[in-house]
Amino acid sequence: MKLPSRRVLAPAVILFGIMVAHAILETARDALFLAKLGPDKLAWAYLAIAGTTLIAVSAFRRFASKRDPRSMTLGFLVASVIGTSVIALTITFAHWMVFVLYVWTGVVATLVVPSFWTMVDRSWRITEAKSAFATIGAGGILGAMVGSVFAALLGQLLPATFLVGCGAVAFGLVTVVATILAPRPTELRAYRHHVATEKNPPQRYVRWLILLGLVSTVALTLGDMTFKSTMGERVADDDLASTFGSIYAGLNVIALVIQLVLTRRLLNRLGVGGAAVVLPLILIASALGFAMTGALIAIVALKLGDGSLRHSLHRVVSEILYVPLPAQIRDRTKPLADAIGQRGGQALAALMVFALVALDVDVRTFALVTGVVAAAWLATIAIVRVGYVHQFRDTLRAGEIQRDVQLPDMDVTSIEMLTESLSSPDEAEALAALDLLGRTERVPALVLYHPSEAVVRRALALIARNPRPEIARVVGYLIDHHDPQIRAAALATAARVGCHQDRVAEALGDRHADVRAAALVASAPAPDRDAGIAALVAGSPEDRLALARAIALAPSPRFRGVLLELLARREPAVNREALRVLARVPELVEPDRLLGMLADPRVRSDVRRVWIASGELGLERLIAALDDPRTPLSIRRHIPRTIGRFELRAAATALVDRLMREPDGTTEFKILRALGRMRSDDPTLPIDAATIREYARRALADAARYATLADQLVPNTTQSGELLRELLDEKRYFAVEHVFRALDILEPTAGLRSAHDAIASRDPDRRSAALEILEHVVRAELRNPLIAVIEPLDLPTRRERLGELAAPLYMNEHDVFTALLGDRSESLRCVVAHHIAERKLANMRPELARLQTLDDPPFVVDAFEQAIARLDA
Amino acid sequence: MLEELQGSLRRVLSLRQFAPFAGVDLGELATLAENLVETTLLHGNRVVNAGARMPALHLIVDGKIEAGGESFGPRQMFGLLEVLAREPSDAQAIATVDTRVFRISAGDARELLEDNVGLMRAVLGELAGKTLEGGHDFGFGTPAAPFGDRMTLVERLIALRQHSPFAGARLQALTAVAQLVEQRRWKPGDRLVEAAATSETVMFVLDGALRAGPKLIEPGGAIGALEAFAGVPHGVAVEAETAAMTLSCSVAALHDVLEDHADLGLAMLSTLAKRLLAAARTRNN
Repeated sequence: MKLPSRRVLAPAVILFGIMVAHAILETARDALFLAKLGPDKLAWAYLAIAGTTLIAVSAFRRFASKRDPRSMTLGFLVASVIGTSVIALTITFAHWMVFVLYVWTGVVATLVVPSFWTMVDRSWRITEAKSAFATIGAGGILGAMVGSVFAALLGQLLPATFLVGCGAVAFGLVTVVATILAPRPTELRAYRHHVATEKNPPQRYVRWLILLGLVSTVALTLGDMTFKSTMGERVADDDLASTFGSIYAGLNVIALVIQLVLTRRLLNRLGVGGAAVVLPLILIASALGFAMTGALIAIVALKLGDGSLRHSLHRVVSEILYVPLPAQIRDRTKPLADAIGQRGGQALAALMVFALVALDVDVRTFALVTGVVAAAWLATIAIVRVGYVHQFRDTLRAGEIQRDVQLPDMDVTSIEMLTESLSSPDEAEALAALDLLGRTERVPALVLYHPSEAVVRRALALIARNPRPEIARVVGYLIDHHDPQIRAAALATAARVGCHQDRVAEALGDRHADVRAAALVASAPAPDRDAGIAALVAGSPEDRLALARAIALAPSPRFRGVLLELLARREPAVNREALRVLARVPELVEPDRLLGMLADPRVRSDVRRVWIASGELGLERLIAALDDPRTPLSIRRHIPRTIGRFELRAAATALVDRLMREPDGTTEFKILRALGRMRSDDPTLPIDAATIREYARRALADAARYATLADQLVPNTTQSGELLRELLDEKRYFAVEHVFRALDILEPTAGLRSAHDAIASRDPDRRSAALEILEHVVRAELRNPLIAVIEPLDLPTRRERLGELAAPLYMNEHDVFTALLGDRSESLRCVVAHHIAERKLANMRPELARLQTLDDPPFVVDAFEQAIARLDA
Repeated sequence: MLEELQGSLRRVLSLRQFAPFAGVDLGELATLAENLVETTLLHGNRVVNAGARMPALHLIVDGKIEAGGESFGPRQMFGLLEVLAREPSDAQAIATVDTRVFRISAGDARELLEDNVGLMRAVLGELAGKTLEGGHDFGFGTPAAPFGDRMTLVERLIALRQHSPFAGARLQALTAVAQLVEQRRWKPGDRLVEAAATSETVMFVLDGALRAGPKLIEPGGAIGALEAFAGVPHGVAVEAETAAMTLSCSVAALHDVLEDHADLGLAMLSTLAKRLLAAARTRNN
C-alpha cells in the first residue's frame, strides 16, 4: 500500500491533534453540562454559542483580510490554549462556568476547524482533494477517536473537571505541531472574474453553501438533541462521562473505517453531488422511521448515521464544495459561512426546539420535524450541485476566448451611430458602416452623395436591391457620374423605379461594358438586346463581370440561361455576382450545377447562401447528395455545413442519420461540427440523442483502441517508428475530440468544448476543473472509459478502467502491427506498412499481402505494394 | 446591456476599417470584437521593452506607436509578427501620442485565429502580400534528397514535415496535404506558370531548379503559395531551369485543408511572420 505523501500527512497530523484536544474537551463539556445543568439548557447553550461565534467571526473577518489562513489557524490555536487554560482553572468556582465551557468549546471548534480547512483548501485541486481530503479527514476522525477513548478512560478515574485541563494541554501540543507542520501559504491561483461574475457569481454560490450548512446543521442538531435527551433520561449522572466517551469512541471507530474504506470510493463512484446525499437520506429514513414506529432502533440508526458520516463523508464533501471557489473569495467567506452554517444552524435548531417544547410535542414529532428538515437539506444539495458545476465551468471559461459570437441585432441608436459613420468623409469608415447597415436594408439615400466612389458603388448596390421612389432625384444626378459602375447602377435603379427611361435607351451604345450591360438588362426583351447580352457573354472576363453585376442589380427569371452560361465559365468574380442573383431569385437555381460549385472554396460561401435561399427543396437535394455514394468527396465534404446552415429539425435529423453511416472520416467530422454549431445556436433543436450517444461510444472505442495500441507499441527510434507513435497519439487525441463534440451536441450548454480544451491544456487547474465537469455531466458508462483514455495510465490500469472498451492484449509486436495494418485509418495503415519495410520485418510480409485490399484508395495500395517490394528486395 | 451592444457594434465598425478585415465575415469580426479590450495608452507609455515577449496584439484605433524607427498608426496592427512568430520584440515600443487601441493577449489572438478560418485567411493574405512586396520566398527548407519516382504517402509526409511551415503542424494536417500533393517531374524549359496567371496550384520544389524572372528557385522553395494566399496573380512566368521534381496541389484543396486543420494555418502564419521579422532585422542592420 502506498503511503500518503508529507503534503497529505502534515495536515492529517495537525487535524488529528486538533480533534484529540476537541474530543477531550467535548467529553468534559457534555458530561459536566448534563450532570450540572441538565439537557433542557442545551438549546440556550446553542443560542449562546451562535451569538458568541457571530461576534468572534465578525472580528475575525476584519482580521482575515490582513492574515493568511495559516497565521489565522495558529492564532486560533494559541487562543484555544489560553482560553481553555483559564476555564480549567475556574470551572469549579461556579455552575455557570460549565455553561461558559460549553459555549467556549463550540466557539473554538467553529473557529479552529474551518480556518484549518481554509488553510488546506488553498493548496489542492479538486481531483487531488477528493483523495487527499479523505486521508486528512481520517486523521481528524482518528484524533476524535483517540481523544474520546482517552477521555473515557480518564473519566472513569478522575472527575470530569480534570478533563478540561487535559484539553488545554492537548491544544498546547497541537499548537507546537502546527507551527512546525502547517503548510506555508501558496500563490493565489489566477482568477479572471469577468466571465464568472456575469451569470453565476461566486457570491451567489457561497450563499447557497451557507444555506446548505444551515439546513444540514439544523437537521443534525435536531436529531442529536433527541438522542441526547434520551440518554440524559436513561443513564445515571455519574456514568454519563464514561458512557458518552464509549459511545463517541465507538462511533468514531465506525467513522474512521468509513473514512478509510468508503469515503474515497463513494466520492469516485458517486461524485461530490452523489456522496452529499448519503447522510441526509439516512437521516430522512431513520427519523421518519422513528416518527412512524417509535422504535428505538430507528433513533439509534439516526445517531449511527450522524456519528459515523458527519465527520467523515459529510465533512469531506462540505470541504470539497468550497474548492471551485477562487482562493480570495474562499478565504474571505468560508469561516463566516461555516460559522453561520454551523452555529446559526444550531441556534435555529434551538429556536425550533423551544417552539416544539412550547407546543408540548412528543419526541416522535421531533423526529418528524428532523425528517422534514433533512428533506429540505436534500433539495438544497440539488441546487448547490448545479452551482458547483457552474463554478468549474466559469473557471474554464475565464481562461479562454469567447467563441462564435453573433453580431447583435441593431436598435435605433445603433442605426443612428452607423448612419453618422456613413457621413464620414473617411472612405474606410463609411464602407464599414455600409457593410453593417446593409444587413438592415436601411441605407439612407443621402449616402449616394458621398465623395468616395467606392462608397457610392457599394451603397447603390445595396439600395438597388429594393429601390425606394424618393431616390429618383439622386439617381438622376448619378446617371451622369464619371464612374461607369456608378452610372450602370444608377441606370438599373432608375429603370426599377420607372424614371429616366430615355437615359436607359441612350446607354445601350455606351463604350463602357458596365453601362451597356445595365442598359441591356434594364431594357425590355428584344432580339437586338439579346444579341447584345450574348456578345457580352462571349466577350472578355470584364464583359461577363459587367453583365453579372447588371443582372445582380435587376434580377429576373428571363436571365436564367445567361446566368447558367456565366456560371459555367468558373470565373470566381463573375460567379460570385451570378450567385448573388440566385440567392435573391432561388427559383432560377439548377441544383446539380450548384452542388458541383460547393467544391470551389472561392465561391463556397456564396453557394451556401443560394442553397439556404432555395429552402426545403434545396435541403432535400443536399440530403440526397450526402447519402449518394457517387457524390465526389470534394463536394460531399462541404455538404454537412451547408445542411447545418438550414437550422431546421429536418436538417439535424439528416445529419444525425448520416453520422453513423458516413465512411469518410473528414465528412464524418464535418457532420459532427455542423451538428455542434446547430445545437449551440439553438439548444432546443431536437436531435436523436440515442444515436449521438452511440456515436460517442464508438468514438470512445476508437480512442481506447489507439491508447491501448500505443501502450503496447515497443519504442523504436527509426523515423517511421517515431512517426507511428506520434500518429497513434494524435489519433487518440482526435478520437477524444470526437467524443467531446458528440457529448457537446447532447449537452450544448454544459461547456464540454471548454472542458476538452482544458483537458488538452497544460494548466492543471483547468484540467482538474474539466474532469469535475465531466463527472457531473457525462454518464458513468461513457465518463469512466473517457477518463481512462485521457489520463496517463499504465497498460493494466487503463485496460481495467476501460472495461469492455479495452482493445485486446496482443502477445507480441507482430500482433500489434497486424492490428494496425487492419485499422480503419488509412494514414495509420500507410505509416505501419512503411515502418515494417524500414525495419525489414520480413515476418510481416504475409500480413501486408493479406490486409491489402482492392477497395483501398490508391495511396494505401501504393504504400502496401512498396513495403512488400522493399521487403522482397 | 444597450451600452454593451453599442460598444460591440462600435468595435466591429472599427475593426472593419482595418484593411485585412474588409472582407471578413461579420460574425467572425463580432467574435474578435468580443475578445478585445479597449484601452488608451497615454503619451509616453511603454508598450513593450526591447527583448521582451510581445504580450499582446494591439489594433490601433487612433494615435501612434513607435518601435525601432518604425511607426504604426490608425488601422494598423502592432505586434502581429511577434505574436505569430512567438518572438520577442526587437525594439522598445512607445506610444508617442495618446493612443486608443484594441488589445488582445498573444495567446488569445492565436487561439482566435485558429478558431476563425476567415480571420486566419485574412491575416495570411496580409502577411503573404507583405512577403511578396518584400521579394521574399515561401521556401520550406531543404528537403533531404534523393526522392524516388513514386513517393509513397509516408515519404511525402516525411519530406513535407522536415521543413517549415509544415514542421509545426499536426500529422493529421500533414497527412491531408500529403494525400493531396502530386509528384511531378519537369524537363528543362518546361513552363510551369504563365505570367499574370491566377495562382491555381502551389508547388514545392524537391529537386532541380526553376526560374522565376531573375530568381532561381531551388529545392526547398515554393511557387504559387504567396500569390494564392494574397489573392494576386503571378508576377512572372516560371520555367524549369534544369530537370526538376515538385510536389504540387491545387490552391482550392489547400484552402480546404486549412479550413479543417487550423494548426497548419497557424504554422504557415508563424513561418511568414518569422521570415518578415528576419527581413526587417536584416534591413535595420
